Amino acid sequence: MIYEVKTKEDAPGALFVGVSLPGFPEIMANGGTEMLSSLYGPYVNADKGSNDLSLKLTWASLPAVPAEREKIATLVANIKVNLLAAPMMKAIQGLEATPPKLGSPIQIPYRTDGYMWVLTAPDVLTVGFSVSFKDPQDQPLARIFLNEFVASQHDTKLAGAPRANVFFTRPGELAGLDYRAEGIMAYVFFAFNKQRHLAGATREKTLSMVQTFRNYFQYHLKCAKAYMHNRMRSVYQSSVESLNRARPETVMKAGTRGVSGKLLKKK
Amino acid sequence: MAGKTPIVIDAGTGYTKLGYAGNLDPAHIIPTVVATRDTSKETTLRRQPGLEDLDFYVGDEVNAHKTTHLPMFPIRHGQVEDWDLMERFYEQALFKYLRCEPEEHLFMMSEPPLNTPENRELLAEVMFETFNVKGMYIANQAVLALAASSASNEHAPRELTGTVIDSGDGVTRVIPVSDGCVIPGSIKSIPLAGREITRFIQEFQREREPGVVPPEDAMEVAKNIKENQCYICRDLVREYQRYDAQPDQYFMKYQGQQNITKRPYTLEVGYERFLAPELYFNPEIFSTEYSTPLPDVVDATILSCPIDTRRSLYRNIVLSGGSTLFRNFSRRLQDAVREKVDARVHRNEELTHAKVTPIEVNVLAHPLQKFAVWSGGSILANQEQFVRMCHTKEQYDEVGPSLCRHNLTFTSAC
Repeated sequence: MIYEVKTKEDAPGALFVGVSLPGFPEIMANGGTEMLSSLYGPYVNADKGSNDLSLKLTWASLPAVPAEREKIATLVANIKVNLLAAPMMKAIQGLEATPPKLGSPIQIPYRTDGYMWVLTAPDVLTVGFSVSFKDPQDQPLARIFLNEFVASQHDTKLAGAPRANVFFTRPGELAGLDYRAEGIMAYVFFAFNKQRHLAGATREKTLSMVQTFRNYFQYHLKCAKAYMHNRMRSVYQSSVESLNRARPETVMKAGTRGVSGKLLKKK
Repeated sequence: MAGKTPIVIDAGTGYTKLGYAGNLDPAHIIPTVVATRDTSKETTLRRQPGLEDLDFYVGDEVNAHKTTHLPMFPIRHGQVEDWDLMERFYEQALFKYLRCEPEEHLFMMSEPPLNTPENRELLAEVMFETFNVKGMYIANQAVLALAASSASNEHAPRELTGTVIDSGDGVTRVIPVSDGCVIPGSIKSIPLAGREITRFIQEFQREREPGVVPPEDAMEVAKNIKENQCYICRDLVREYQRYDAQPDQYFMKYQGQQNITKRPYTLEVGYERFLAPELYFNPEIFSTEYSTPLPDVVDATILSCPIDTRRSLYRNIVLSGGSTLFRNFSRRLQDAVREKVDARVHRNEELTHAKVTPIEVNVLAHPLQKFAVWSGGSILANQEQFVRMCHTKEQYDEVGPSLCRHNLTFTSAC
């Protein structure tokens, strides 16, 4: 995701916010266009330059009330959240229609090395992510974390949470889709219940939280690594200390040279 | 997609400046403090593993969790003292504040003028092994400050040679830099800086109008006065006379409000407006132990440098840090240093009867002075050559931490 915020000399009083995101065409094809026209309609700039999308805010057209202005600023800042939520919103609309319309799986390559999938089943919206770690030392750690997800399915304390499924091989749901499977360690799917997680005010929270999965996974992994480094350092330090204590004291004999180079005398 | 923007991090004793290269100001300025429960120091494993690895707070959040977590400062006097804490600090700095994927970015890190190679190795270990960064360059703070001045001031020379006067909160340093390399033997430091100025104003207020400022606000009020109403005068005696002749023109009012009761209070700001920043030129007002004025230190520093660099060091004296922002600072310093240099040249001419080419003395103020180190990093990291100068992850895997003991030097700022 790359943002480009700038002003132009030939357009005084206007602020341009450019956004580039991998997978932008896929998002636009799956509900992005509708989302943009409903939320960002008056701000979308036709001349997008080298970016995927450009928003134009003119000073004169902004409302005078500071609180209203802040709302617009928050809206613009949330562009990434809203873009990624657009395919999910489209799927939810399908679920809520009577009779429910279950679309085919949507695939969004939201990173150069990562995919997001949106699947629908009756009353359930499933959002999946591919997990890949380039660093060979991160991979075993990530595997431990993923197994923790599997174990959490049986945890009674997490009964209200959306169910997380982890597959280490290509799951059947993605059978018809075309994507680069090399380098993908695992597939994590979160299943959201229509009534419990997607109704009313919780929906917005759910949709923005699920997007942070990858970032939080990365952050937690790095924290775990750093924590282990800390532990290793302190264990090492304490072992060195006990080794030092175990070392027999060397007794200086008369006739040897001391630190200052002087010969030690017999007492 | 084009390459990702490099990230610039300037970790200081008080505040850490974070941001993306190419911007003029840092995106985040957060206090360098980490609050932990400190379970990692235990050597025995706990029975029930939980989320100890996430149980810490950094920056501004620390204040809210003081009761349960112990705030600790990983950096002392510019040097990182506790790498365990620093590693945790960077975790949140990268993922929470910058929200970046460290594997995709190049990093420009700053180091204090007299950093040890071991510290550089430790930094490399943290960055490459914990965060798997794509590449990293460690730059000296003085060089970055010089780069910021050079790029933002059209009168400044393009090459990275000059004397940097870095005055932050704790200490004032005079650092000569020649062609992008610090001359380590000649660095001089003065133990007086911004904190002393604040304390001076605070005491001044307390003596003249006792009980007006609520004690819990005294520090903040003094800081405000320092930042907004203080300036450097040309001549102390003349300034005193001017204030006494027209007090209503020069004495200012400070309006404040008590934090809890909302009681407003007003206090007068007088002589301290020009007296407080005199710290640099008449340190004997402030301290009994230290009495060498800044111009003398600058002169002595340059004279201790190799003889072929001295003229260019006098020509480009650069200011950096928040405490150099006083109005007329550069002019007063320039006049004082020039006076000393001219007197010496004159004396030399008298003794040898030979004509000496006059020595040019320039003290440069520039618009990026406040965050000069970060801005300089941002400018250098935005250059095309930066990519070539970084140590990459592949090289690190091949060589190990000793790779980062040495970093190539930049030759020019633009």
